[in-house]
Amino acid sequence: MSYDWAWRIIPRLLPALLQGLQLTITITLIVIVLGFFLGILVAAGRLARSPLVNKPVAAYVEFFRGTPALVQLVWIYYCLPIVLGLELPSFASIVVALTLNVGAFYGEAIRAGIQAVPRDQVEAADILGLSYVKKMRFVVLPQAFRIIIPVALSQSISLFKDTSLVSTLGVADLMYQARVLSTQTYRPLEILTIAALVYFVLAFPCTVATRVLELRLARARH
Amino acid sequence: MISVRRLNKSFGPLRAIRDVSLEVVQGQAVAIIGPSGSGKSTLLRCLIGLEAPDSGEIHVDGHLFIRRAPGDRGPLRRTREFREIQRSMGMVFQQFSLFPHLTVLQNVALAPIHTLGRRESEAHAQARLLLSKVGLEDKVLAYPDKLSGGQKQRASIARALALEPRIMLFDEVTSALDPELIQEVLSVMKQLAADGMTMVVVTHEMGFAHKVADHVVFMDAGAILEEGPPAQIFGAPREARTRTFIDKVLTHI
Repeated sequence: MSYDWAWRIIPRLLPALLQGLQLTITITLIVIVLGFFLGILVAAGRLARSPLVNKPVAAYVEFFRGTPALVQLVWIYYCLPIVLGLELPSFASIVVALTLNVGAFYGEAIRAGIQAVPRDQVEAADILGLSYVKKMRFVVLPQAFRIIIPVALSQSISLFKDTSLVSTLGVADLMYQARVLSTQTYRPLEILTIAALVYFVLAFPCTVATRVLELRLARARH
Repeated sequence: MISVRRLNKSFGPLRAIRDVSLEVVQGQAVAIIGPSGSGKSTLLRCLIGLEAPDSGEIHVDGHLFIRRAPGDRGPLRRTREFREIQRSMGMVFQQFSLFPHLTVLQNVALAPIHTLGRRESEAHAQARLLLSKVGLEDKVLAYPDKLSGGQKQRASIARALALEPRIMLFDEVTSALDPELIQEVLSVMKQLAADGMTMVVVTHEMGFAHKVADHVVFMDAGAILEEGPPAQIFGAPREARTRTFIDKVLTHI
């Protein structure tokens, strides 16, 4: 290739990129926490006996899993302030959108984990007289977590990468900074390569750790 | 002790239990035998309230436990009274069903602590006692995956006994075991029967049914075809179908 790589420009651009990274990480962590709590509610809703509860929740899950995250982001960014009649900072809109999105996925992981616990475990707990809460706490959830945790971790790593979508809405995350700097320096190749590398350097160890955890959990099951 | 009146249960088009009535006297060890699909396990599961019958009544120790009229739908209502009666019965399953994430000791102590509200130290002491009664005193801190099938079943029996039930139900508890491991489980059950526990045992172990049971019930195609003392069922069955079954089964030994 006869392209003239100009890696020398990177060092002075790093502070800006790292500032974007800070926002990316902040968004990721906030959305993981909020999304997980939402996921618990979603799972409970899906497992509820009354169709008045489980049907709307199912619809919510199908919608957020079946449409592109970018579409959800943009729609909520523009429509939420109008619907609520408030002026919302873009940060709030994107956190809401990403939380709703990831909450659907976490919810499905939690529901699947709970339903994967063999029925005879639940029956054994029932005839031992355990109340619903104690049954969940001491018998069902400990076993469900062995499935939920690897899936939830995987989902979280995907979320970390998907936060790059907020750059399209002017939120100054890592991706946004990379694109702005690319336009300013006319060096998209170098800058975007570095940006991709930054995402990778953070995501890859998490992926490896998830796989290790998965293997350890699988060995502990019988 | 247990009174079953006109019980019916279908799974879709399959009539698993047809109009079954049965009386179990306190202190009696009742063996239920019969071919696969005869409704024996379903009957046991209805007895302890894991299946909702389509119609019929079950009385336990003088109390009405379950009553279903033909139109009743939905799962059984787990009222406080229902759960109290349910836990006066203990059940052991074919597939062990020990909680894999807890040690044997924790498995046995779980219900006394969280259902009966006993203190942990007291529950653990009682659990150790029960586990030594079934011969597992050196396995108390092991996890279920480290136990043999026979040990798992004995642990399951200890767990069921921890709530001090008045009735014990056994659902083919030796059917999934290697032959050498069957005796250790049957001895525990034999001891329980000798100690006066009211038991209902669904089993293919004809030796147990013959030697340990006080009363044998033969089921076929969802109905009780014949019942009586072991001498009658095994020695002089009245029904032709009973005779055919006994002949076929006993030639295997």
